[in-house]
Amino acid sequence: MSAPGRFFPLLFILAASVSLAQLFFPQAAIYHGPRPTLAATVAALSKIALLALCALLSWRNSRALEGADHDIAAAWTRLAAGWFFYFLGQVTLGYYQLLRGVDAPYPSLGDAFFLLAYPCFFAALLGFLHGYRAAGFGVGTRAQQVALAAAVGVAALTVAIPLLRPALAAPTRPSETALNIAYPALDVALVVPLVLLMRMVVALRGGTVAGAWMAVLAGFAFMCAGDVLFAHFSALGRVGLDPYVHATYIVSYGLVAEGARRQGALLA
Amino acid sequence: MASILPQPSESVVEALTQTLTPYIGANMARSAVRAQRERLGFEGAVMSGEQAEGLITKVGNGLNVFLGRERAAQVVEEMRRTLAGGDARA
Repeated sequence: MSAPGRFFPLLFILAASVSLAQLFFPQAAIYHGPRPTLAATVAALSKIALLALCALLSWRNSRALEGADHDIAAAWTRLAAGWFFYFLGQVTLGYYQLLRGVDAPYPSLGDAFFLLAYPCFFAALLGFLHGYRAAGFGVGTRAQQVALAAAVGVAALTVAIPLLRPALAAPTRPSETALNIAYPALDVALVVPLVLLMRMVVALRGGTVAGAWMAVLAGFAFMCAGDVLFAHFSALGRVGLDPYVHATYIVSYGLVAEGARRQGALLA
Repeated sequence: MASILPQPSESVVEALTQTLTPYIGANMARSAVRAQRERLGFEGAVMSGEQAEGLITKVGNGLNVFLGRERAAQVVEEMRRTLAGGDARA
């Protein structure tokens, strides 16, 4: 692994720590002063930079695999498109937070970009599942996969419904409530292909491919957790817990970028 | 290039598994090699050179999805070298 590559995880963990440290040192100067504060600037710029990396590195993997396997290359393209929409959404939020020094409206144009990413993520994850199975790396029979998907779906709903109840009951505008439900609901749906891919990655353990995929899937898991936290805290009006949400998203995007980078290194 | 001589099927599976393990782990390597062997219908206790070559090609094609064409081709060469230097006293 190249030296800059080895230190990349430290960079995004450091960026996430800047947000998280607010919970322990709330009086520190970087969290106060005229908006945007230094900490908010670090969080917003980190997310924008990491999302750009997620999109670029996924795109690079897609190009590198085009001659090798069309289905898997197409799945990486869809993943790149999804992360590009996320990047556009984050840039929109950054415009409000960094240039205008105000909170981004909710909903905003950024949410349209974030929502557009989900069909791309679904198509990408299903494409990977199909492509890897076709190449002989499937785990279990198709019937077992369907049964597992159904079980995971039911389990995810069982966990999500109580978590989302405050969001549904909160006195927020209908558009805000709809988004507070939509993001976690889409994430819950995303958990199904993620678990199926995780099963494959567990079978790959001990190999270099597993490291790349473990990072990508952990990144998606952190993204789902971030959306649930955001909806929960937003519905409860607990803005003081925002650092958790910022840190979760930074780690999420950092892990996906790290996984895409590791996959790229395997192709180099 | 040295040709692959007939070898016990289990030795072939084991040799290919060991070559693939650094990339896809021992469990997936073993199950992928066995699955491809089954698909090709190579059920005998001894595998001919042609059969071993066919198995290598099949497994190597699958690796494209993770390693890309060039790196997968290098692994295929490694598998060929391993088997060409293998035990021929089948």
